[in-house]
Amino acid sequence: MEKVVSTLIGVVVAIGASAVLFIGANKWFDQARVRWWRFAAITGAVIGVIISGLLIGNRIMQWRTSTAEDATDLSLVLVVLMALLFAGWGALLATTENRNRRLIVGGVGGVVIALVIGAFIRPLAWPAMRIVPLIAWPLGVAAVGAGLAALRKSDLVKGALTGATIGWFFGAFLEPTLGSGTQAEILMGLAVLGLGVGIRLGLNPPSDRSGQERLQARSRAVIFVAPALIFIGATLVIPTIQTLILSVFGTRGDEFVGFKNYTDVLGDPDIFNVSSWTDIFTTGMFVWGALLIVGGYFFARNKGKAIGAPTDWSGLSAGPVVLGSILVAFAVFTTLRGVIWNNLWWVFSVTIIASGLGLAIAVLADRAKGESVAKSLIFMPMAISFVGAGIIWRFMYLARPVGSNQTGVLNWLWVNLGQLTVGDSMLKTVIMVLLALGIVGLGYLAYRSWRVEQNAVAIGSAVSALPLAWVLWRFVGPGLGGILRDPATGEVAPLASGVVGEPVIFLVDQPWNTFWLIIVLIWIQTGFAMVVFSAAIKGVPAELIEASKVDGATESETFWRVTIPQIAPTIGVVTTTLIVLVMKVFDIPKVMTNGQFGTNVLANEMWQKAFTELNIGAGAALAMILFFSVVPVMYYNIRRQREAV
Amino acid sequence: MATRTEVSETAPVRASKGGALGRRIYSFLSAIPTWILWLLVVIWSIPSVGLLVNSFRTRDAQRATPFWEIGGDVGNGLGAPSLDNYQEVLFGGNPLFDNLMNSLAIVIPATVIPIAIAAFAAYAFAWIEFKGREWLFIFTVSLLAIPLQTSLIPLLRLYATGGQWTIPFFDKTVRLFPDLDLAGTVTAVWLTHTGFALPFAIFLLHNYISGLPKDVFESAFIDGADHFKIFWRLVLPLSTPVLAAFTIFQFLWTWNDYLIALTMIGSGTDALPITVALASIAGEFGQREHLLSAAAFISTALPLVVFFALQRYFVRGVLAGSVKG
Repeated sequence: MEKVVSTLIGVVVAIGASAVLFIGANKWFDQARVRWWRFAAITGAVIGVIISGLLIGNRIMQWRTSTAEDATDLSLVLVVLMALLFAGWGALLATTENRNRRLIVGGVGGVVIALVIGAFIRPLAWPAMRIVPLIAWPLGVAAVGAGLAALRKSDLVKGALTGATIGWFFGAFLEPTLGSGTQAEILMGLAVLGLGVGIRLGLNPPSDRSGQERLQARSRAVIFVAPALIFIGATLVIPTIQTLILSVFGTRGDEFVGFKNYTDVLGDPDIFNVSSWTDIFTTGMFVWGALLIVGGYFFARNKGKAIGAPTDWSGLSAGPVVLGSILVAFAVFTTLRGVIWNNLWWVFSVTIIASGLGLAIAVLADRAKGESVAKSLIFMPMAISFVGAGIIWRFMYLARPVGSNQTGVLNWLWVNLGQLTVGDSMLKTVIMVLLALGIVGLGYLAYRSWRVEQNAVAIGSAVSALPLAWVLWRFVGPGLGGILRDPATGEVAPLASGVVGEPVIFLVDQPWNTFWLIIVLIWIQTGFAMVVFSAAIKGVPAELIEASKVDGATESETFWRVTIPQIAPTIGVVTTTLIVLVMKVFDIPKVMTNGQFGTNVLANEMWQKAFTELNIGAGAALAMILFFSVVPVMYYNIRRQREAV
Repeated sequence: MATRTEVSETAPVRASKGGALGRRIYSFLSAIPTWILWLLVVIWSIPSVGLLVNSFRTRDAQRATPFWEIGGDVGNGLGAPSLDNYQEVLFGGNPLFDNLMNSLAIVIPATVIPIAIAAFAAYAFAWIEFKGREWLFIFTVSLLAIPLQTSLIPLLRLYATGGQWTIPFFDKTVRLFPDLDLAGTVTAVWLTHTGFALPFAIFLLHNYISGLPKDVFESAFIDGADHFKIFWRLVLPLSTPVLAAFTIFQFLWTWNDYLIALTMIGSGTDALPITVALASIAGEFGQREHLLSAAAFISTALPLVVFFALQRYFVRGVLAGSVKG
C-alpha cells in the first residue's frame, strides 16, 4: 500500500510541476501585452533567481550568520533578495520613458545590484586582477562588437558597449586566478560590469505597443518549441557530442588518446575478424545460394524478353533469388565470427525475413476469412517486451539432458522426430504414406499443368515436390531429427535404455545460436511489417487491379507488376525502420545469453565496456560506431522529410 | 475464396480443363494459402500460449513434461494447475508488485509529459511562423534514427554528478545543473524517456496537426483567439486520434524498455521496473526458474490488455510513424 501511495505522489508531483512550469511561462509572456512593467518585473525576477542560483550553486556567493561551523545558511533569503532587486530594476526600466533618465536608472540600478552581489561573494572567488588583460579584453571584444554592428548596419555605440561589457567579464573574472584578490577588486569588477549592462539596457529605446505585441507573438513560438528543444538538446544532442569527445579519450575519459579506442575495438578479434574468409566459398550454403541467385536472375531475364523489359519478376524468379541471397549471406555470417558480423547477421536476417514474411502474411490474409483475428495474433508480439519475448523463447529452446523428458517445444519435436524416424511405428508408416501421396499429387499437378502449357504452375509443383521427397528419403533411410550417433561411424547409437533422441542446445551451439536469437526478433517484427504492408496493399487503387485483370493478367502477374511497384516506397520505409531498430538490438542477447557463446552484439559489447568494465573510452567508441552505421539512414530520413515539406 | 496469390494461378487452368478429380484437386490447392496463413498464426501463438500455460504449472510439472500435458500425472500428485506461482511472485520475497508500481511511476510521466511537450512543439512547427522553422523541424526529425547508446554514458554522468562545464582556455569549471542524485531513481528514467520520445512524437503529431484544415485556424484568429487558446480549444480536441495513437505507442515502449532502466537505475535498488526485475530472475538460472513464466506473464499482462483494447489506435500510430512523411 505504501508503495502505491508513494508511486501516486511521484507521478502527481512530476506531472504537476511540469504543468505549472509550462503554464507559468505562458502567463509570464502574456503580460508582455497586458502590462509591460509587470512582464519586465517577472523577467527581472527570473534572471535574478538564475544568477543567484548559479552563484550559490557554485559556492561563489553565500550568506551565513557567522563564520562558525554551525552557522545558519541564509543563502535562500539571498535568492529572494536578488529576485526582488532585479524585479524592481526591470519594472523601473520598463516605466521610464525619458532617454537620459533611462540611462541613469539603468546605470545606477546596475551598480547597486552589482555591489549587493559583491558583498556576498566569498573570498575564495575574489579575482586577482591584472591591468593588461583588464584593458585588452574590453577593447578587443568591443572592437569585435562594433564590427558586428557595422556588418548588421545597427548602432555602433551599442555594439561596442555590449562588446566592452562582455570583454570586461572575461578580463576581470575569467582570466585572473580566483581566490587571491581583495574585496575592493571584486566590488570594483562587479560595479563596472553592472554599469555596463545597465547603460546598455538604458540605451535601448523604451518599448512601444507594437514591439510588445510582437514580442508576445514571437515568444509564443519560443515557449511552444523550447521545452521540446531543451529536452532533445539535453538528452540527445549534447550527450551525443560528449560521447564523440569521450570516444577519443582514455579509459576514465581524461587523457586524449586519438583514435586508439577505435583501432583497439576494431582490432579485437572477438569484435571484428575476417581471418577465415576463404572458407566461405567452400560451404554448401554458398554454392547452393549462388546457383539459386543466378538461376532466378536468368529466369527473370528470360521472362523479361517476352514482354520487352530487362527483367520480369515473379514468385518463381524472386523466390530463388531471395532464398539464394539468404543462403549466401548465412554462409558468410556462419563462417566469419565476431561481434560486428553478428550484428550484420541480425540486421540482414531480421530485415529480410521479417519484411518478407510480413509481406507474405499481408497478402495471404488480404480478404481471407478471419483476416482481422489472424492479423491481431501475428501482431501481438509487438506488445510484448524484448525481455519478455526472450524469456518466452527460452522456454521454446529449453534443452534437458539426453534421456530425460524434453519440455522445450522445439527439442521435444526434434527428439521425438529422431525417435520416430529411427524406430518402427504405425505413425511413421502413416506419415510416409501421406508424403508419398503428396509427391504423387504434386507430380500429377505438374503433369496436367504442363499439358495445358501452364509452365509456371508445372515448375512450381515439381519444385515443391522436391523437399517432400527429401523428407521421405530421410524417413526411409538415415533418419531425421535429433539422433544419437556414434561419432566415428555415424551409425545410430541408442543408449542402453533405448533412447536415441539427442537434443540441440540451441543457445550454446555455435554459430547457429545467434540465429536462434534472431528468430525471437523476427517473431516480434513480422507483425510490424505485416501491418504496414497490409495497409499499403489495401491502399493500391482498385482501378489499377481491375484494369490489369481486364487486360488478362493473372493474379500473380498483377501482384508482381502492379502491387509490388505500387508499394515499393513502403518496402523502403519498412526496411529502413527495421535496419535502425535491429542495429541497436540489446535486450534479447542480454537476457538470453548475455552475449556469451559467440552471440554478442555491438550494443551489448558497448554496455559491457562502458558500465561493467568501466572503460568509458571504448564504450563511447562502440556507441559512435553504432551511430555512424545509422548515419546513412538518417540522411535518407532527412531527404524524405525535405521532399515532404 | 479469392486470394491474390501464387496458387490462384490455377484459376485459368480450371476454366479451360475439366475433369472431376482435377477440379477437386484444384479447389483443394486454392485453399492452401488460407491453410498456410492459419498454420503461421498457430506457430506464432505457440510460444505465448506455452508461457501462459506453464505459468499455472508447479515447479515439478514444468520440469517433468511439456506445457500441453497440463494436468497430467507427474508422479507425485503435484501436476494440477494452480495460481501459486502468481501468488509467490507477486507478493512473496522480492515482490514483483513493487516493480509493477515502479514501472507505473516511470510510464505515466514518461507518457503524459512528452505528449504535452510534443503537441505544443508540433503545433508551433505546423502553424506558427518563425525564423528557422523548417530547418529546426528537419533537424528534430533526423534525430529519429539516433541510437540511444550514444547518450547513455553522458546522461548517467549528468544524473550521477550533475552538469559541469569547463570553460575552454580559462580552465574554470562552472556547475550548470545541480547534483540531484538522480542516478538510481525512477525520475532519471522518465526524464530520459521524455527526451528520447520527442523526435518521434513531434514527427507523428506534426504529420497530423499540419493536415488540419486551414480555415478552422483562420476563422479562430479573426475571432481574436491567440495560439494558446486555439491550441486548447481546437487543436487538442481535433487531434485525439493521433494523441491516442502516440499514447499507446509510448506506453508500450516505456513499459517494455529495458536498456534505459537498466542503465539509469542499475540493479539492487528498490526502484527497478518490471522488465529489469524480470531479467534478473531470468539471470539467476536456479531457484526461481519455475516462477519465470508467471513473472513474464505479469509483465506482459498490462501491455496486452492495452494492445487488444486499443489496437485500432496502435495500428494507426505504426502506420503514421512509418508510411507517411
